[in-house]
Formats: sequence, C-alpha cells, structure tokens
Amino acid sequence: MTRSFSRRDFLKLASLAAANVFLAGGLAARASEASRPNILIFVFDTLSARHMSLYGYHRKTTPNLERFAERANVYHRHYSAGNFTVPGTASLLTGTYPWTHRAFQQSGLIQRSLASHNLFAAASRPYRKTVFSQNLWAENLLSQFQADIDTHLPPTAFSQFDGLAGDSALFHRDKDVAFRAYDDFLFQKFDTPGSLYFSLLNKINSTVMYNDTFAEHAADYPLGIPNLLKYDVYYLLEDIFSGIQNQLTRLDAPALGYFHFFSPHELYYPRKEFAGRFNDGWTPEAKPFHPLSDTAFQHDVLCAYRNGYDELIANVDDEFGKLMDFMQRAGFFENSYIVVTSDHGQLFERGEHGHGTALMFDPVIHIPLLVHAPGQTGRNDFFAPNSNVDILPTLLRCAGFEIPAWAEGVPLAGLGGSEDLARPVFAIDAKSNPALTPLRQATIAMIQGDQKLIHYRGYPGAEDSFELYNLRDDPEEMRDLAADLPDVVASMKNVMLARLAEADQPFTREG
Amino acid sequence: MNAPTLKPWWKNRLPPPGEIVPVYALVAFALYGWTLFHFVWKVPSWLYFLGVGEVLILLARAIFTNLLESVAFTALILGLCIFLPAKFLRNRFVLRGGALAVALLAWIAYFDIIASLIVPPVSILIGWTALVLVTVPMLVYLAGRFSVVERFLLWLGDRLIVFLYLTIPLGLLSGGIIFFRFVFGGGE
Repeated sequence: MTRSFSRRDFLKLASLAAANVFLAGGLAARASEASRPNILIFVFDTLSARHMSLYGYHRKTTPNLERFAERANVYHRHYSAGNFTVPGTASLLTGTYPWTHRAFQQSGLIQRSLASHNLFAAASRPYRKTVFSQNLWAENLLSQFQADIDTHLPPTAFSQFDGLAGDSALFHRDKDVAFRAYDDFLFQKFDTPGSLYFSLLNKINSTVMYNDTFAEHAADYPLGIPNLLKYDVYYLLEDIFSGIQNQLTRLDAPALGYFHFFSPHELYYPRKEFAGRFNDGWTPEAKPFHPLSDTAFQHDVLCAYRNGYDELIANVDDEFGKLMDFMQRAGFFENSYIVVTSDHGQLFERGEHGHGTALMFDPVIHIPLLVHAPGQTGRNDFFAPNSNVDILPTLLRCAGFEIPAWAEGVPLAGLGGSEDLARPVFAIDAKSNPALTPLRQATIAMIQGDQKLIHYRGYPGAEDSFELYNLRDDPEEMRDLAADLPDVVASMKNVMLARLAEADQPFTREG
Repeated sequence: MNAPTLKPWWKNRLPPPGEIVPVYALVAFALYGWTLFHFVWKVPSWLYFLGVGEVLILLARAIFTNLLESVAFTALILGLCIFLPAKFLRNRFVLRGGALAVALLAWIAYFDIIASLIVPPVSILIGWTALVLVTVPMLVYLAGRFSVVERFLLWLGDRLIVFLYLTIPLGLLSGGIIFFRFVFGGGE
C-alpha cells in the first residue's frame, strides 16, 4: 500500500529543494569568486627602466626579471605620470594624471573629493584587498583609500626597527596626523626638527638602535643597513621579501594585493654579494648640466652613485627571483595577474642625482612594466608609449569590472587594448603648486610616438620654454630639436596645453 | 610640643618655587618659540594639500609636545640640583639654572641643525657630549662672575613669566584635544 503524499511531505520536499538550490548557488558563487584571477602588484620604488638589463641596459642588473619576462607582457615604453612617489603612485592607483588627482606635492594627498576614485574601490567584492607600502608618502595615499582596503599592513612590517612616532599604538586612531606632526615635523630628518629637546632624545635613541642593528648585520650589509632615508625605519631586504611571501600565503582568493617596496631607492646599501659588483670601470656618456638641475654633481660622482644604484637593483632582482620561484610553486602563475612596475625612475645625469626635481628626462619617468596573465607561458613585447594611468583600467577589465568614466587611462595592449602610437601620454611635476589652483610652475612631458616634448612653465629664467627630443634617434635626449622642428612643437604644444587647460578649468575663477 | 616633621631629603636640595618659575619660563619660551618658528615655516607647504583644521590639529600636537618638553627639561635641571652641591646650581638658581638652560639649549639647537641630515654616528654624539660637558659648566660659572648677566637673566625670567599664562593653558588644551582624538579617532 503506498503512503499518500501529505502536505507535510510537500513542505519537506520544497524546503530541501530550496536548500539545494541555495547551496548549489552558494557553491557556484564561491566557485565563480574563486575563478576570478588574483591581482598582485609589485612596485619597486625608484626603479628606472633605463637601468634594467631587461630593457637593454649595459649591466646585467635584472636577470630574474628577464626570466619573469619570458612569461609576461613586456611594455618597453611605459611612463610614470610623475617623477617622484606621490604623483607617480597616485596616478597608478587612481588611473588619473596628477593634474586631475592633484597629489603633486611632497608628502601630498589626492584631492579629497576624488579619494573614492581608486583601484581598491573600483575592484569591489568579491576581491579582498591587501596593501603594504614601505614608502611613507605612498602610505599616506593608501590611507586615503582605507575604507576600500581589507588588510593594511603597516609600513614598518618586516623591518628591523623603526623610530616612527606616528606609527605608535598610541596614535592608532589618528595615525595620519600623528605621522605628519611627529615624523614629518617635530622629529623630522633632512630638515631642522620642530622639536628642540625631544628630537635630540629621538636622535640619540636612533643612533643607539642603528648601531646595535648594524653591529649585528655589518657582515652582510657592509655599507649600511637599508633604510627609508628621511624616516627612521631600517630593514633587511630579504626580510621584506620574506614577509611579503608569507603574506601571499594568507591571501583570500580572489585577492587584490598592492606591495610597494622601498628599494632600490637611495641610500644604496646592497647585501655584500652585490656591493662592488659594478665597479667595472664603465662610465656612460657625460651630459651637459641643465639650467634647472637642482644640484651640480660632477660626472665621476654621478657614476659612483650609479654603481651603487645598479648594485642595489641587482640585489632587489635577486630577491624578486626567489619570490617569483615561490609564486611559481604556490600556483600564483596559474591564477593571478602579476604586475611588476615602479612609481618613478632615477637620474644620474646633467648634474642631477635623484628624482622629484624639475627635470623629466627619460631615466626618471621611463619605468618598467611587466604583466603576467594567468597561465601565460610566452612573452609578448609592446613598444607604443603608455602610462601608469593605464594600469587601473587594464586590471579592472582583466578582473571583469567596468572601467569607470573618471579613469583617464585605457587598457594596455595585449590586455584588452591595442597599441596606438598617436596617443599622447603625460608626466607632470608641479610640486610647488597648491593643490586647488591652476598650475603656475610645472614641468610637463608629453610623449607621442617617437617624439617627446618637455614644457617648463613658471620657472625663473625658463618661464615658458619647450624642448623636443626624438627618442628613437636620440634615446639619450642630447639634441633639442625644438628650434629645428617648430611645427612639431606647435602641434604637440597645442595638445598639451589644451589638456592642461581642461585639467585646470575647475580651479580657475570661472571654474 | 610639636614633633619635628622631616621633609624628604631631596626637597631640601630644590630651589624655592619662586626661583623655579622664571627658569621654567625661560625654558618654555625657548622650546615653544623654536617649534612655532619652524611650524610657521612649514604651514604654507602644508596648506597646499591640508585643510586649516588639519593644520590646527598638527599645531595642537606640537604645542602639547612643547609642554611635555619644557617640563621634562626643567625637571632635568632640577634633577641636577638634587645631585650637585648647592653652591653649584641651587644657590642663585635663577642665574645658574637660567644660564645652564640657555647654554644647553643652544648646544642642542646646534646639534639639531648639524645632525638633521643623518642618524648621527656615535663619534659625533661623543664629541658633542664632550663639548657640552666642558663648555656648559664654564659658561654657568662665568655667568655668575658678571652681575650684569645675573640682572639680565632675572629680568628676562620675570618678563617671560607672562607667556606661561598662554603656553600652559594652550598646552593643556592641546593635550585634551589629543586625548579626545586618541579615544574617539580623528574622523578622517
């Protein structure tokens, strides 16, 4: 005798069916979430493409990045939108030029009304965002995006010791202001500190701690312990990479990770295996001083600095090689976009050592960009100029998100875009300008095809001058063609100034 | 008959409050003045990208640090009073404490300026300390030899007391603001 199908049976069956649908949907959702690729961005501060053997540099500085390049898209003419950390990093993370995001002062910030326009906000759920920056100016920018970040490692993570007051647990609710008050003013280095007495005690403490650390590691770091130069944070390169490697194992997929390493930023303190490696007697061609150079270092001094820088790049490359091998073993190459780039380069020419000056020659804005796509086994090379404002739209497209209308970049060739030699890209230095006024004093570089136009604006003695270079025929930018090719200058100038006027419009009286 | 009360031994070695205040005023004026001078120097560049409110919060942190510094530095001088014979420092405290404060702060300012670029190596620290240990007692001794110096320091200390009516309340208010932000956050 068959049992009749009761209402209770129906309700049980219906609820079971609903649970199955829900469960399957949940599993599918998790499977779908998990199938989204991870995005890992590694930024090496101050790494110039011009100093990488990957891009043809005379010295063998990046053999491991060359290995990585065998499975990556390699962009040979990638430009930072700024010539120091603040504008360069802000452009990478917002997909906008400095004249839009307005972070172009030393230790500056993105315009508050635009802080939500960033990669972490745009790459919404299911992505879990983890960020780490050793560079404290980049850290200031990341703090503006705090609401969109899930895990924010402190800049002192994995370091040997630090003397940062702003990083103290006392100020955990107020750390940005604490950083500016204490580390950027009261106890600052590179300028007279704002505190007369406590800064002395701070210096004595730093000296004692540094000597203890140096004594422990002098054998491995004979030139000195790597540090943040302007701030009392001391680290060993291998510890930073090891810490990041550990962090990678803790990521929840799909992960968006941003890791900003301070090296190879000066001071150039490589491990012993790399110290002295490039005392090979090679010297590049000397270049004439530029009227707007901040300093007047002689050629032999610049060559000595260059040697140290190249050695530190080789050290960083070696550590990256180990990280790369780890990522290979852990399967990240199968399920992740892996981006290797920089925020800006470095100058050792025309009397100038460093970055963040009024000069925009290629060594300071031509930076590396390598992007490995999930499962990629071959190398693709791209030669059209592109900008780090293109990284945000590219990664969003790769992750399956819409590109926001406010992004000024376009997807990179090979990753949803195409090569366009006619498209101009820009780099802007405007650190002496208030954020919310038109740019009165600035250096603007525009790269279009093989041509590069540099505009110096508002500098005493160079109020409104232009330089023009052909980067294919004259990659060292030795011959200013502005007088010889006035039509080219006029054409590029119109484009440049139109873009500048458009960017300045909200900050003019009429705007 | 009342039993004699025993004061702690160290209280007998401290100068009277009436002499401590002008020396503290001198110390506070130097420390607050140094900070405010450099703060005003920094403000224009901060205003490029910070709001006025944020700059005022920075100022509050700086002023509260000055309050703590000035108390700590004065405590250092008073600590020397406890351990040195009275004729070296405690007696004629306004003169000797004031001269000590001025000489020490001048040396500290010099060190802050020359060592701003680097973590000073131990050799520089030792050399500087030696210079301080040699010259400061000499300056304090010499200050006592000239009555014009004593009159000047007395006059200066008395005049600077008026600034304490501003610096101490501002310092305490700043401390309150910092405590509030510690508890409730900055709202950034």
